[in-house]
Amino acid sequence: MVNRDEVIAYLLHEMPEAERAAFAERWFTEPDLYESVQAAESGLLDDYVRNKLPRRQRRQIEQFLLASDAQRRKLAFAAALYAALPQARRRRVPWAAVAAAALVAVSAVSLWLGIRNQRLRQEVARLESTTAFKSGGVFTAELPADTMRGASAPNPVRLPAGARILRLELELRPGDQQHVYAAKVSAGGHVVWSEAPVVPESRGSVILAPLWIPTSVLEAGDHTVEIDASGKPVAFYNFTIVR
Amino acid sequence: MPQSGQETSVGRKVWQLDREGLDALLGALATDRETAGRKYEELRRRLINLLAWEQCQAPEDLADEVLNRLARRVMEGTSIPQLDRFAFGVARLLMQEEGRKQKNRKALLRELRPVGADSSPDWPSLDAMDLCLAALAPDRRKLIERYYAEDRAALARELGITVNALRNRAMRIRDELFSRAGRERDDS
Repeated sequence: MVNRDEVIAYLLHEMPEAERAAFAERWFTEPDLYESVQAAESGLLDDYVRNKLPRRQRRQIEQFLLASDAQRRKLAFAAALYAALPQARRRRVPWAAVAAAALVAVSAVSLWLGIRNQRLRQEVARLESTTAFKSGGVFTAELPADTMRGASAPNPVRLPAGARILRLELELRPGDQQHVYAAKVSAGGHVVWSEAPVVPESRGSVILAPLWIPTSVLEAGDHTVEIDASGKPVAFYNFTIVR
Repeated sequence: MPQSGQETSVGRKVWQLDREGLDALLGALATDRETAGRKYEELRRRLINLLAWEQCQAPEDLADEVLNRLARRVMEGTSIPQLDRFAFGVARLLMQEEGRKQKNRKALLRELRPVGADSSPDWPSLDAMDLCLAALAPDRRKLIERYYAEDRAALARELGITVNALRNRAMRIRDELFSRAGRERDDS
């Protein structure tokens, strides 16, 4: 009987190399174990597109499970399945999330190649800690919680050239992580992007609701994000796109 | 693609699978052609997964190279009591070769820049996915819908099976959908 945690540790490269090689030989020659590894991978990718994984595991997936077109097709399939099944709130494949994952994963190729190079690792860590612009074309902006539950103060978001995806991290108030949300982004009275479900994630003591928005739908100017829970608006955020 | 015995740009001879090699490999996999073909496809899928999970960037090409080498060994008369284990060994060797090549190319690859969202796969479409789901037997479709929508422990209890067994059933249906979507992509 195989332990599912062990299988996930294999897939996410959390095993020592010798143990990993032995495990690979085992699953390669044991059909039942192979099936378990495939099932675990599918489960990880399903949870990834449903935004159910902690940030660390999401990064591990981007780094270790999306290194090739063959693997990225598996992610695309998981996203399409998610969109096609009845419980999905919207009839739309979350390509933005898939594209973003692919972008991050391509970046991860160079990250992986440099993994034995301490200098490079330090450089990557420094870049990640000091800038919100990831080389994969994903630009991250955080909007603070709207403590008044009304429109928050304008927040300029200066999109750098080459940014293809805006990952908007909406800070939630304590307790709001209990909900699953829907989000609408509007500009000039028109909805330019909608996303559901939006599943909050925690970063330390802060709870964030992440949105993945293609920058192509964001024109320069003021935008409003409306967050709904059970069909009722519960929070608003303002931001201004500056190009 | 280089042909059988052709020299590559680095002067190394590459052995390519030809009819004779394929026949030899299929013969080593099973005595009847139908079973051998199915085992070949299954072995290829397993190799692709192995290489992909080891982060090879072109796992499909490398899996084919493993099968080429395997066929060559069979043709040469090498005694291979456990073909699976032997294939695994060949794949490990190939991964080491690839690792060395990548190391040599490291400086170049460090300069790689993501090619952008356009390179992400846009397959399968929602319509294609709907067709794949519609092609499932009703009970299988119902099961996978409920698996993703409901509490799994409660569903497993209702069905009188363990959560693990439920997961295995759902994942087999999911795998069937994935294969079907892949076939439709290849056919279009």
